[in-house]
Amino acid sequence: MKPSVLHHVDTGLRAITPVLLTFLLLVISRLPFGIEGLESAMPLLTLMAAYFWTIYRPNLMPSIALFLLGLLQDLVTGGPLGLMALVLLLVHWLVDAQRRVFLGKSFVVAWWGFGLVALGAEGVIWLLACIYYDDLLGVKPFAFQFMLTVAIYPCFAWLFSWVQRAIVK
Amino acid sequence: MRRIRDNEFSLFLPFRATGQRITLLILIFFATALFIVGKTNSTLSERARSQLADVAVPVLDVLSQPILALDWAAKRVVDMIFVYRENDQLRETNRRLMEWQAKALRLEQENERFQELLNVKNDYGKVFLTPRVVADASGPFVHAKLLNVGLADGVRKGQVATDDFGLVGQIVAVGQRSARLLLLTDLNSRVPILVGAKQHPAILAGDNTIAFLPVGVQVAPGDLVLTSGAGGVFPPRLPIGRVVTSRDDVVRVQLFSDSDRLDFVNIMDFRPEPRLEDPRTSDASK
Repeated sequence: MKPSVLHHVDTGLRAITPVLLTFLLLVISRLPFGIEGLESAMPLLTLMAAYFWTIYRPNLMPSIALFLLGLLQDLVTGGPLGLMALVLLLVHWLVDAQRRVFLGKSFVVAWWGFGLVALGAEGVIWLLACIYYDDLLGVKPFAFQFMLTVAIYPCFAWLFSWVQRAIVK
Repeated sequence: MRRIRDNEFSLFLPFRATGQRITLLILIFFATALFIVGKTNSTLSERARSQLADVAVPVLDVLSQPILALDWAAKRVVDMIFVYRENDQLRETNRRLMEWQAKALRLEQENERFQELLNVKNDYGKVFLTPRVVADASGPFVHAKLLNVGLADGVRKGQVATDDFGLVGQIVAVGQRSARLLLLTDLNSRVPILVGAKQHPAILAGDNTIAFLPVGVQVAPGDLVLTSGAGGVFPPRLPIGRVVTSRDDVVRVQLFSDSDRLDFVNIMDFRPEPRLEDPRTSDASK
């Protein structure tokens, strides 16, 4: 049986949901929430998406999408261009090589793994920012951002897995 | 069920893996190249940023409305709870402010007369626009805001922004319909200032510390910090903040402006006095 056009559109839309969702989260995370201290320590939502989808559905979060999302993040945050793109690609590379370790394991293992990845990513971000600005930057805001990112990862992991079950299929 | 499908995908992976790996390596190389180009040539990345901001600002403008509405509703509820107490306070403040107003008017007249006598020309800048902050463009190392106005509204690079309490920052990039406001708390922010009653000249750095205070000068907590206007970038005598701590050669300033809860900013049109020019170059331009 030949699948109808509608069917193709349907599967296509489902397939781009992870990328679209990450894009939306990126935009939302830039809104002025007016919460003291949040702006400089906004959790790295794109990092969570890169980690989650690379483990569970790597084919739906291709490296080109991560590159573009990272670039967009650099553009909207005013950070050095290419920094987040590079970090997300490195995370993709690392996690893709190790995804079998996390597949089918309990959530705590995935969370712990995310903690390690986030620590490495935040370290690289700090290092690259120091190089870019020719200055030894204070570690505090980076550490705060790292902790916040790891702390709220379960909420977004829940959201992503719900999306995976309900929409992506 | 899902596990099985994942395994199906991984069966095909070895065939596609090489192509994907090459793509990944190319992209990593490209990102690194962008990073290096951005470090050496920032004009290119700034232009890309402004153009993207132009596209993003209308979207962010709409998306930030619900947040504004929620914020407004929350403020309303709090206001309603404290309405009586606040009313009493306001009456008291109002009485005090009226006294101050009388004093200020008298001083203003006096000041004007003195300036006339001394033939002083002052340009404190004028507020000409009050745009909305539509997005936060901050990270651990950048502190900036996106505004919903741009070249089309008369906003230019270098203009100064204030809130109701004091200086907020400076416009560093302008698109057709968007502008990027670099906050005083940004790493790269440097503002020429005057400190204390004796008005010692110094520089306010992005971490809210004072640099380049003249040797031997003592400042105390509570000392007022104003823009000096030196260099013609910021209008003179704009309130910035107060000195909070002064210890071990590190002088910290508490800003008057509240960049966390910034929803509107005032943009000031300020044209500095023409600087002394080389007569030969100014002749050549005629």
